Amino acid sequence: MKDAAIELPWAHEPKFRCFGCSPRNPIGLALNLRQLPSGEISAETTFSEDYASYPGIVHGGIVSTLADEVMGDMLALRFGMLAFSVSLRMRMLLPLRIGEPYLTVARIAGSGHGVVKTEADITGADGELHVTANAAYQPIRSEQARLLMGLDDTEHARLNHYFDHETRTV
Amino acid sequence: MTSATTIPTREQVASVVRELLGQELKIVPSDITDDAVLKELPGADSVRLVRVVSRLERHWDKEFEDEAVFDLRKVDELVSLTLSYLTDGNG
Repeated sequence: MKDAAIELPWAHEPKFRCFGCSPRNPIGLALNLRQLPSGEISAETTFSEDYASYPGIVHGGIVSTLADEVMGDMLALRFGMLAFSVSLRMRMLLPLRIGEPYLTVARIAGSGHGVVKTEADITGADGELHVTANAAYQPIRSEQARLLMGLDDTEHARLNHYFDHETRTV
Repeated sequence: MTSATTIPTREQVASVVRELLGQELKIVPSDITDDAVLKELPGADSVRLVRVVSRLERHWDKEFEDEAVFDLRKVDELVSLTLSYLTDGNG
């Protein structure tokens, strides 16, 4: 069974320029997300030299961004929840190489105390595990969004369903 | 992830440690002795051992200090370290 490709519901929002998932950010990752039969959200990524640290190696900060993005998008896609990451922990087991494909898979690990806990694994084409990530996300409050994102009344009303989520519903 | 509501016994922790080491290194868990040196287990290398630590962290929803992880020598020390996070409220 082919995994279902996902069209981002927020793709056409005028202010949407996310470094991780917007196709309109020219320096971003422009991730293509898929939903796996398990419900997990995944992204296949091959990095160019624009994202290098040491020669031939993908920069660790970019790898962290990749994991954070797929986990955050999972919350938005599966639960309609926009959230800020409040902690992100990476275990870098093996470096990622420029020009080689990697699969990032994100899943829910739990919830409580006002945060949702998530996990992500990044594996190589040979199935070898390169990175594990664990993160906690706090749902964005409506008024917080209005202020921080500079939303006007129309935008706020249109996007309001993404905010003020309860973590116990995850 | 497993959030423990009661503190597991040393034997229970040791059983999970052996199970995850066995899965990662593709060896029989019951063949892993307490005093075995981690890096001398068949198939072991630093990456595989950190991977086991990562799985232990997720299993118990704890974060181990890197310094403690890289100081580990023997299986029994990994069991003790894991148990310390479950009993002392670390992580």
